[in-house]
Amino acid sequence: MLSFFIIIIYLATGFLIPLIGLLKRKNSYIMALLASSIALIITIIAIPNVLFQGTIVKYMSGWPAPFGITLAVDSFNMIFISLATITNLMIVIYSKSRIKTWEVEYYSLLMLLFTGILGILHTGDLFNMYVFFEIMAISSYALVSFHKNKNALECAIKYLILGTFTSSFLLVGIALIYGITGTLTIANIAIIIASKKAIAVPIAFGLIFAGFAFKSSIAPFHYLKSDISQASMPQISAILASIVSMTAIYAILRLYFIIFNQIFIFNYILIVLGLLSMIIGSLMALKQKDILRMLGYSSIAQLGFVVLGFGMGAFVRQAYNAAIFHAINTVFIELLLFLTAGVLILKHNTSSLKELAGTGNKNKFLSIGFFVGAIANAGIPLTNGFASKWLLYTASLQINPIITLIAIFTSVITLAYSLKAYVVLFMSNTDTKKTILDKPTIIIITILISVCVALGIFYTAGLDISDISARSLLNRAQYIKEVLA
Amino acid sequence: MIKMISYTISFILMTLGIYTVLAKENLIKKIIGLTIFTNGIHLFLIALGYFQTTQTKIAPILTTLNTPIAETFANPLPQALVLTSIVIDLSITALAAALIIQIHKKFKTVSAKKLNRLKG
Repeated sequence: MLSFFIIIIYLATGFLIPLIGLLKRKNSYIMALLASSIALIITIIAIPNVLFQGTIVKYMSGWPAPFGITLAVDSFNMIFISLATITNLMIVIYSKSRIKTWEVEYYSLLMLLFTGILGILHTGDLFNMYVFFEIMAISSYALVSFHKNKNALECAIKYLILGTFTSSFLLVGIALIYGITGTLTIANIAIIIASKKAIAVPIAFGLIFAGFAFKSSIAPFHYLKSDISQASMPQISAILASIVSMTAIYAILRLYFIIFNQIFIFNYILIVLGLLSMIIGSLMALKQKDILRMLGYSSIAQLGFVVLGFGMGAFVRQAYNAAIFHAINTVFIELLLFLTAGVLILKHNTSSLKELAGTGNKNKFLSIGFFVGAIANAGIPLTNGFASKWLLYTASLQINPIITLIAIFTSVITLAYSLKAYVVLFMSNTDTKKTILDKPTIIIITILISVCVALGIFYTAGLDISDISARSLLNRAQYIKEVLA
Repeated sequence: MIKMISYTISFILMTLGIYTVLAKENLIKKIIGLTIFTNGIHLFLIALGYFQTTQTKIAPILTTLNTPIAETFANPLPQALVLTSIVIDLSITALAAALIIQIHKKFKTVSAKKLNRLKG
């Protein structure tokens, strides 16, 4: 019940910032900080509720389930909601000393982006999901173009045209589903669609999948990801590589499990797409000469692991746990890598590895942060990346050893390019001055490092959480019953 | 009959829109193509909500009449969806136009082929 207010808080802040920002432009940061802190507190209060009550359902303006818009939260959503609110708070704090002009527009768009994310994560209505998806998409196009330099503008218009094109297919898919079933509530569609054997059902699922998969940038839709990473600001790249991709994957999985009730062939498609993302992402990252492009491709490879895990889950149950755990870990690892590298990138105003060489060699703290991110990205023991990847390896051994081989190969390549970036940034000799960090950045990076290490050492806690949320993802009957009650 | 004509026109519009987005070089033409594509989808949604009966259909407005007139209503839900979608489409077009103006200032061109600084 409580966590629904986060959407309202974000949306209200997004529109209040331009009004209050007229008085004093500095106010916009304080507003955004206040809203995201309240949202995080609400999330922390709401977590036990969800764990003990199961699915929490809210009917908008009092209309019961099949007629009005429903919002439904269970422990599978809750994981992603917590990740989104944590990411939001971190990005707001990180932006404080780095956004000196146009703060009002920046924070307003940032809050609207997270409104879209939180909306997708909460909603139990198909068309409502599309509306929030477009809110997220439009604010991300605007945020990508925020610099207004040549790269950003070129990337933003490409992203806008392709993004709108694919989300139009999503709308066609939703229209087809509505034509077949005559309802838009996800739980109700699931009941009605079971008795329909129309050829339009798999077509509709394909169209919806294409719409969401473009935003998640998994393998066949990866072509714009590295451009976006390079052209936008590092903190925006971090959001788009971590939580926006995860939200799109969440939407695919929620619809796949509830509405389409696991069409069996799609598990193989997920495995193939996951492997393809891993191979393409890691091999392309190896040859990049730009740190942000490298991290962009790296995030595709990590998403590949998550998708692979969800595909393998139908054969080995523990792969679901591993995939959810890896989704949590990936968000923190990507944030850590992008934000530590982002300090140097924004300071020196370039992202090419050649020009950045050695700029961090006097900065021990940043180098520790990037190092932990790099080894966690590759899955070295004692980091969170190892715990989830190890589970994925063992799960894949029970299906086909070739999958395990490809996964280990990907991890090795990840280690190679992560360490290459680390050596170039932090160990080459140059006489650049030390980059002075402000306190908020130090706090954020310390938190991210400790989360990465803590989840690696106390991985059983992370696995327990993943297990609970995997159980509620698989418990289709209960979700439908509680929403339609 | 009306329903079939609407479906046919909507699919023609969608195809035209997709063709325009993919084939045209000019960014403004691409945006026009996107709008045609979305309008095709809107027509498809509206046609879904139309029921074929002998009675004439009226707009779904709640009245105080006691007579059971609900059967004479067209389905109101797709119309609400299309209204929402039109607003989304408008905001995307506005943002795209703003971006194209900036691109024209910086690059002195609106051709998609000449925007090749970033290599995917």
